[in-house]
Amino acid sequence: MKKTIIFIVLIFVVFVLQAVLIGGVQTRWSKPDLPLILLVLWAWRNGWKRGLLAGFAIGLLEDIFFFPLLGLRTFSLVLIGFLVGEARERIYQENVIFLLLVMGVVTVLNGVILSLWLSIFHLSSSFLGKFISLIFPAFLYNCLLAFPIFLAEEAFAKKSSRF
Amino acid sequence: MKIHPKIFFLITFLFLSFILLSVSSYKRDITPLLREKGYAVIGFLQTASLGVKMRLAEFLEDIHTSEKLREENEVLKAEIARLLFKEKSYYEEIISSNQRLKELLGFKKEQPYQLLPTEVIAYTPHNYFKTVVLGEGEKEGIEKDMVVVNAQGLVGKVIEVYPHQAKVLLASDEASKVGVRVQRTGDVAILQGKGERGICELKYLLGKASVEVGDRVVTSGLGGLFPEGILVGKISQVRKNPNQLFQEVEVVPSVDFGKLEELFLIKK
Repeated sequence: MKKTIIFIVLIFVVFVLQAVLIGGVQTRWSKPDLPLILLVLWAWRNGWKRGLLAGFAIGLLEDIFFFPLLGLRTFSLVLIGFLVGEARERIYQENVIFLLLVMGVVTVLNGVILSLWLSIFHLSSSFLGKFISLIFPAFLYNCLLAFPIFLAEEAFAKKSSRF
Repeated sequence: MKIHPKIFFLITFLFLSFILLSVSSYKRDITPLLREKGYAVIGFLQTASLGVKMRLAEFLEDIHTSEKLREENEVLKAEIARLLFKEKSYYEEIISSNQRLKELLGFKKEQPYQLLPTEVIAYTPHNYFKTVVLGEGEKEGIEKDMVVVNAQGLVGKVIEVYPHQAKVLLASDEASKVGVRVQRTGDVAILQGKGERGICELKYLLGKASVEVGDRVVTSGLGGLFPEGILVGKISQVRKNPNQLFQEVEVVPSVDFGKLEELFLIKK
């Protein structure tokens, strides 16, 4: 129950930051994906089941506010939440650099899935064009932003475990 | 065949996501309906965030300039933006195509629309779509399909309207299609955003059209959605293939979509 409440609060904060802070900046370039970073961290710490459910909740919320179709982002984040949580159970690795590698891989996976759906539902004319123009900047931004977040979370988790 | 519970769980949720995708693709008004409820909260936060940013900028500016000078500056900037828009998009079009006709026929053209100022309160938080959110909505008189412009030219059109916000699809988005005309030659085509690199392309421009790099592209007015004569951009690349019916033409928009300021809605 406590974890669910913490998760709901975290989703709300991240969502507002993405909509207001990142959405409040005008730029020609790609923008970081805070909800994806939160999902990776959550799934990594809590396993495949919570990761999958978190992916569903975050994805649905994002679809309602930022995407033209329901399910577009939900599909991608459900799969990513599951895979990250499952990877954590199979690869016991506490190194934050490894987590960044996971972050990079899921950014690419998210890009592939979204570009594919956009192409299939005629919301984009070129799967490859969309993928190439968006993935590399997103990969860089997400990994750069995730690094301090993961470090801070790790420090907080270690401090909490002492008590 | 026995399916592992984990896989079954995953497949169930993926299937549910796919059902949502299919249903909302078939009934496109579902997502905007849900979004309208949420924008009551998010819109307030976005407006508040813009208010905070503006106040901070004003506070810093007040150190060097007086209150009176700033107000005068805003009024003059808005007026200049209106005049620049008219000069670039409307007057030049009138001079190039209607002047002789007016003299011959004693034709007096009145400006068919008025410009309503508006402001952007939020930009696309994700990279897959080129949209912005305006701080005015249905209660302030905004309607769906209203055209948005600035001093540089065509910005986009309103695609969703909520009580106090409105979403604008930028002309650089792939879903944006605008009826245009090459001003020098009169050839008509459809301008479609390419999504990336901020450029657009002209579709269905016949191969025999003699367009050149540097030619101005304006809205054609065909279809009735976009008023005629609004500057859209300039041709940056022309590729002709004798084996194809249409030529490939790229257009650099006249509007800097990375810096959207002083926007106006066209009210007919």
